[in-house]
Amino acid sequence: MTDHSSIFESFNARSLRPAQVAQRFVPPSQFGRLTKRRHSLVIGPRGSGKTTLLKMLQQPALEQWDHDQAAEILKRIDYSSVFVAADVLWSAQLRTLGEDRLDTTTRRLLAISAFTTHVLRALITTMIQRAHGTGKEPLRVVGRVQLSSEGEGRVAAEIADTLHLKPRLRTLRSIRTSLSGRLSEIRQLGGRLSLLPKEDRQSELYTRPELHLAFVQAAGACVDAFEAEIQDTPGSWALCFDELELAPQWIRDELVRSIRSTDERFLFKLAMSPFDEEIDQLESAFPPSPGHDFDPIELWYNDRRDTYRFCEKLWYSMLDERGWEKRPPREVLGGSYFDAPSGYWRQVGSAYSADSKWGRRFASLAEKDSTFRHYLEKKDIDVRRLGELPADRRAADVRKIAPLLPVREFFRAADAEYSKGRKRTRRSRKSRALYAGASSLFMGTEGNPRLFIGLFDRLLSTAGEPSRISKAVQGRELYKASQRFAAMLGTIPAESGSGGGLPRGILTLVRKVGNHFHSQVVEADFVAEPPLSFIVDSDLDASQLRTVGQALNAGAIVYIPDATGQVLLGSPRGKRFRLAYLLAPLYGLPIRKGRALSLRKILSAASDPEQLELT
Amino acid sequence: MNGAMVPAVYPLDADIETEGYDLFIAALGFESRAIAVAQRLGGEVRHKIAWSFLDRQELAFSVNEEYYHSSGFEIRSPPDSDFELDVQRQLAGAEPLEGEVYRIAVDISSFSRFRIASIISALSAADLHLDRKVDFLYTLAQFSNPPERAPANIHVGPVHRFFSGWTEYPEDSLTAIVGLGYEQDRALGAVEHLQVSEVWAWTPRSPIEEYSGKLHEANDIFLEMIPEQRQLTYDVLKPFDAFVSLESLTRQANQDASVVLLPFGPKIFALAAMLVGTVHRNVAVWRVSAGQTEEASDRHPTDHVCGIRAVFPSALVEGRELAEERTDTR
Repeated sequence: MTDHSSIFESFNARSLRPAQVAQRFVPPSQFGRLTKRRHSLVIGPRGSGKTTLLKMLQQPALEQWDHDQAAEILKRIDYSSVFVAADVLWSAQLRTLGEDRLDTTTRRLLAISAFTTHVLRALITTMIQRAHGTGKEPLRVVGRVQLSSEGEGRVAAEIADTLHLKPRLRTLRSIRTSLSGRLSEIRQLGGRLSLLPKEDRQSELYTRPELHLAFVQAAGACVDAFEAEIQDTPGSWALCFDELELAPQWIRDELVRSIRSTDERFLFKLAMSPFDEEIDQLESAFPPSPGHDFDPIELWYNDRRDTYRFCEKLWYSMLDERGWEKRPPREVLGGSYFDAPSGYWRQVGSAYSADSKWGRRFASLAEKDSTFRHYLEKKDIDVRRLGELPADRRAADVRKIAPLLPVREFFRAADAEYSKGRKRTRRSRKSRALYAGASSLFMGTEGNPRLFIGLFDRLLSTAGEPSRISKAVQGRELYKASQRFAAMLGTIPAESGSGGGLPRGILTLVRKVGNHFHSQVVEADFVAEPPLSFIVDSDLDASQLRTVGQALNAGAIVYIPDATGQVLLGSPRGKRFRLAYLLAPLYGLPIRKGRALSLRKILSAASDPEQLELT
Repeated sequence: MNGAMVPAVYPLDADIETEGYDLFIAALGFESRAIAVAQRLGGEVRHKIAWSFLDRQELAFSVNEEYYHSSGFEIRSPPDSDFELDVQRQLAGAEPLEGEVYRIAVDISSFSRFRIASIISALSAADLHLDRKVDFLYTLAQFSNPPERAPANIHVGPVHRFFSGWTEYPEDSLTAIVGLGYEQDRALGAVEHLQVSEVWAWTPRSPIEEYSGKLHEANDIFLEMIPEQRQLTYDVLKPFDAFVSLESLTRQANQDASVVLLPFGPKIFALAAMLVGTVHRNVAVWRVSAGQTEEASDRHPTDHVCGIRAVFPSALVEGRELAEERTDTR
């Protein structure tokens, strides 16, 4: 069993070395597409596995990856991958370099120089791994080369000259250390420059050629030096840039410029979130011509079956890691309240007999909810005889509404109680068990590896090696995962309100939508197709649109693609979204898509969202 | 040299009722406790400045303003964007009453974290011509309930550019050292947003017992996720001890990870974190704030006043050897 000191370490590829990532890696279907010798844009909300996939292209990961698909996938990777890390903290540091005492041009120059240095150091790291291995005994060797110490000395000398470095030793490791030192010098230079008069800054900056390197050209020169010595067929190099949406605009401009420079030895594999206002600029870097266009790879699932399949793989991988028996998820977690009856029963009709689970559910709701009774009457459905309906009618009228019933039954107060002055929505900790069951938990994670592993690490750790995990425990852990998710959403800084109004963050948007859908599913008169998705009106103001975009990137909402097949959005206008299923326990929603409603209608209809939110 | 001087930090051994200062700095805001330290100062103070906030001039603001006017304070009202420059100007022209050390007292109780950071940034500037001995003072507030629902955050990032930190290894894991406050799930949200790998949580202990229950309620999910051995406590009224422990932990954590300090909760802990940030210049100190949309809450003073002393050396003093800043040791 993996030993983690806290949940924060449980699965965040950001902090793991590629070899560690490989230990737990379960390849999604998208990995095969990423390995192709093409430029790629890996697109997904946070936690969807972008960093993991890029790290899996690295030599240390490929050498340690123990999986039955490894050999097949490795045949396609005939290039060396260079992983360029990024995160929220590093991006903030690049933005604030110079501590507000420097002019924009100088700060930009220093930030780009820091970024270039970071890229070049990642490249040198890859060269070291190819020449000297990764320090761990590999399952297989990938991309290794022969490099004598004299040859390495020549390579190091050449690179030092190109990059204006003075390494202590003529080795690649010393080059890398020098580049680390340069990052420190850049920061210190920013501090010193802030004390100089403006006119003296320029002379200080322009006498430093190391600050003016362009990373593709510099990387090309380094690759030239390396390949001249290794006596191997010149190959390709994949520069893998993570979390591009975090990079300051200057850096993205620099990256776009570099991509356009078309050094054909370099593939670009970029990871980013699905919404980006500057997407046109990025797409322009990849003109639609052979060899230059890019392959967009989306890391979410539009089909529930795909989500389930991938989650099932992760499930078995986690059991295997613990050395536990590989029990099917339904055996340990049980079925979900939102599972429609299976195909067999669908035909025979027994699933809807009066004493079946579904039969009782229909009857129970019909008894307490007059509007549901009214629906059944209109459809000429007798709850005592559901099983006698023809199969096509059962599919059209009964199976379609079945997933709504558990939510309505759990949360809606009976008419008799309501008429005595009770609130229409009941709040109860028992309602958390509603979201237990294999498919509910799997859908709740949306196939997002970080969410999945974070949730199931805790669930499996709590349960020990289980034959069965109780619904109460499952519901409790999923609810906590929902709360953690909401806490994260609430932290993300909000856009300023339109016309100088109050800032409205992602959580405010989510609350309004969640509470509105809840009121439609639970409190309003029963309808067969309550709204459970929304379309972004074209006339929403800019700050509202950006908030929707932020929500998409954070994973709070999920894009439901239209006929255009677009996966990267420069604007959410006219697009359809639903709330992430992970938020369903917080707002008492069924785990399913539903018909779409205008977002404007939802926002204008919503009463104070605080009053309705379930606890 | 990088443009900033590393201060030496000491316990506060002064009696503020008799200690004299060349400059006393206070905040003019809506909290009643804003004037509590000023009311207790008994020694000679040459120059007194109250820096006013421009927003939420409500609750105790008028009373405080009247007090400062009648007590010989100069009231200055720059916006946040000009605040540090204004502080720098006041420091640049300073002359001590005696000796060659400029003695300053700063009541941080009612300053925003941004302004506290700005003051430290101004004090750290290497181009000031005098050593500055600064007593940072803090009045513990009486208990008041946290807001029922916090407004949306508008700032999640370094408390001030001066505290952005820097790393030579962006690919390394990230450790968060978090001071807990009683805003619901604030710490949890911040560490999830940053995608940290390791977390240390600091819980304040104070003579006001009501804080403890509310704090644990606001952080129950967060604390459940952190192993007990990474949950520490500090005494709000012993800020130097908190500084020493925090600095030690930061130094240790920084050996193999990037570090970000998230000092929620009492401002005296935020001050300690910022002083650690002046020693370890590669460590970031962040804040999460809703800014001016946060509801104004009048915090009343208790009798508990504590503080910490920092001496900011001038680089311009002849013969001085500059203290080296700590950087990554990896």
